[in-house]
Amino acid sequence: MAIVLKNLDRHRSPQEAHGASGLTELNLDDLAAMARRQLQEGENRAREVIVAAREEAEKIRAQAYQEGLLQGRAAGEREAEQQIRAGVETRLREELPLFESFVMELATSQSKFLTDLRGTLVSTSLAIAERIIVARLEREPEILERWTQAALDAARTARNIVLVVHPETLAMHGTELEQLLQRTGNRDEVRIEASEEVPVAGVMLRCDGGAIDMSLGEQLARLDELIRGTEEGTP
Amino acid sequence: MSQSSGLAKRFADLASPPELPSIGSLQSAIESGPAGRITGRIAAITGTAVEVEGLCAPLGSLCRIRTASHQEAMAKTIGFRHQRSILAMLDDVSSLAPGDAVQWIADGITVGIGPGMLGRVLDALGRPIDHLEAPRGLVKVRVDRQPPSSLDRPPIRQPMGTGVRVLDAMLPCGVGQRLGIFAGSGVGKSSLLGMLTRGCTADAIVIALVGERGREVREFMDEALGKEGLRRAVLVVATSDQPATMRLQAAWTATAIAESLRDAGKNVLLMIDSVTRFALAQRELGLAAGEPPTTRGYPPSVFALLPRLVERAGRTEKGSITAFYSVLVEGDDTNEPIADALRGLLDGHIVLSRKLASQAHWPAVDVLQSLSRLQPLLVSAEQLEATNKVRRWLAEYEANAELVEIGAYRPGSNPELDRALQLRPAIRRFLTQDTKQRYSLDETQKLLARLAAGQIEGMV
Repeated sequence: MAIVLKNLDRHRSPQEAHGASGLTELNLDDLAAMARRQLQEGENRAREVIVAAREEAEKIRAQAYQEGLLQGRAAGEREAEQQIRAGVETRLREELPLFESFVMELATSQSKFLTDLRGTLVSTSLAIAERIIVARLEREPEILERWTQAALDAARTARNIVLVVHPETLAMHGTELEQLLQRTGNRDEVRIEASEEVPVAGVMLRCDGGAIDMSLGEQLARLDELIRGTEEGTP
Repeated sequence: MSQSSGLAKRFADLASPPELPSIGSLQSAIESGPAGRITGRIAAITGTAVEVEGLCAPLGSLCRIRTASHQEAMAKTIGFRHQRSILAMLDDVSSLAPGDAVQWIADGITVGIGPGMLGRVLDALGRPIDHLEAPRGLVKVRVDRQPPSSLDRPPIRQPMGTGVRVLDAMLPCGVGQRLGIFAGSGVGKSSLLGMLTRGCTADAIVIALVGERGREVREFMDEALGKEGLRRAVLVVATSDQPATMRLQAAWTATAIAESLRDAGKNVLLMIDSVTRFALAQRELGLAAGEPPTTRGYPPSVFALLPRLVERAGRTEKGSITAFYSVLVEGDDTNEPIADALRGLLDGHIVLSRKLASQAHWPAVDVLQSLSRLQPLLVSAEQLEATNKVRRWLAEYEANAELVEIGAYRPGSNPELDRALQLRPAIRRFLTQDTKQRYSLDETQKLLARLAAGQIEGMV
């Protein structure tokens, strides 16, 4: 417990009183006044601290609100985006087969159209070629000789050959074809035969188990096969 | 690629109009076959050789056989005996008989080729076997094309990243280089090929599986390639049960596909697994056609075909074919005739060692036995020096391995060997990797430089 001494001389200040030995006595009033002042100061200080704390808290709350707002907004945007994406994906998943089948149908019909067109073009070209060649065959008998020569070349290793032609062809070009056969080299049997099975436009060569059909129809059929084969998946 | 652009591409693929064949391909198609119908008949069948009389089709011609039971099968002319043509079957047919009609179809075999083939699995004649619809927009080309002229081949100077550290560091492969992978059975040849397909930086990959077991094909597709790998690959398959002509044809067809992609400006990786089975198929056909057997029963035509096959790969002004040919060496004898011939024809050889495989050293590349002939032209002087350093350490250890293993070597007596012993674990770690791991060329080169400088801390 603190001991407070009171200066008897009431006109002196407490500091002077402290300096004067033996002149003090206990003064409860002063003590109480001092305590009150200190209490007041404490209260003031506490009030200031509370005000400052409130201000700080308000500031933090405002800052947190701002940050929370931004984060919340970003999270909301993300969520919305995800939901939109999920919605679009679901919708796409539902609609995609429809789109795909539509595009496939379009592609298939386009492909079919082009294939048909191509077939028509090839058939038309071959029909035109047939008419031109038939007309030329009448004027240029050497075409038939060329075909015969090609057939003889293809059968160059055969020992026995029989050239089969239509009777009309034999009547018209028999001499030339006979001469051609005579020039084919060393063979066991070489002869020419007439048959109505062979068309007028063309020749057929039979040899040692094989045959070379150089009729116009067969040549055009081969051409058709070769042209159509260019796009197929088979060799 | 974003989802939307992926979708757009998918629709674009679906909606792409079918391409009409060019005038050039029509013209070559018209010229490829005889003008009329030329037919003969089967006179005799000896083993795999079908003798035909009355038909004089040139060598390599494609013929169609029609049996009495109305079955049709394709065959190829492989030789002549007196006046008869000898054919080898391309298709399996059960009821061939003398007298069956044979028609000459074309001078040679053609296959349809185009970008639509990527991602597809085909047979040796280019027909899809993956149960999907036929690829569209293909143009037929002959498979027996000539290799590019020597003067049309620019020098190879650019290294190709394979993703495999031991190759990129010790045996670098150039864009357009041709290398052989020499291995006995079961030493990781297929695994290495799988690593190459996944790790290489090529635009497109063409793989011929020649004479493989049926099981291995699916495994290779699923394990080695995977869905991503298959998307940029074309697989040509002729399994061991197929006729020799088909096994032979698979290599030619794959090469022709690779050539067409190269001509379209792509850098292509071509892998033929295995070229030994290609040679065995030709041996079968050559002997059936009456050729005399020479070394180990191989007829001379085998040794004539090998350069024709490998010379078609390489670099041109348009693009490149970087090729890996796997060579199955019998009894680990890398000097057997096919391996020997190929070593001389190729631009390098990668030898897989059974000893390394038994030590779980994967990939089991025996660096000291392997060689990339173009290495000095592909890497910098510093990298070459680093490679040589590591090679010297490997060689030093190899030469003294027995002494070290029995404890007869006293450290300090050979400083170079001491260094090799000190770095051995790090070198081993550097030269091995898991089949799923891939390393970029840059990463590998940096690690090699560190290893050569003896900086082995953290080396993985």
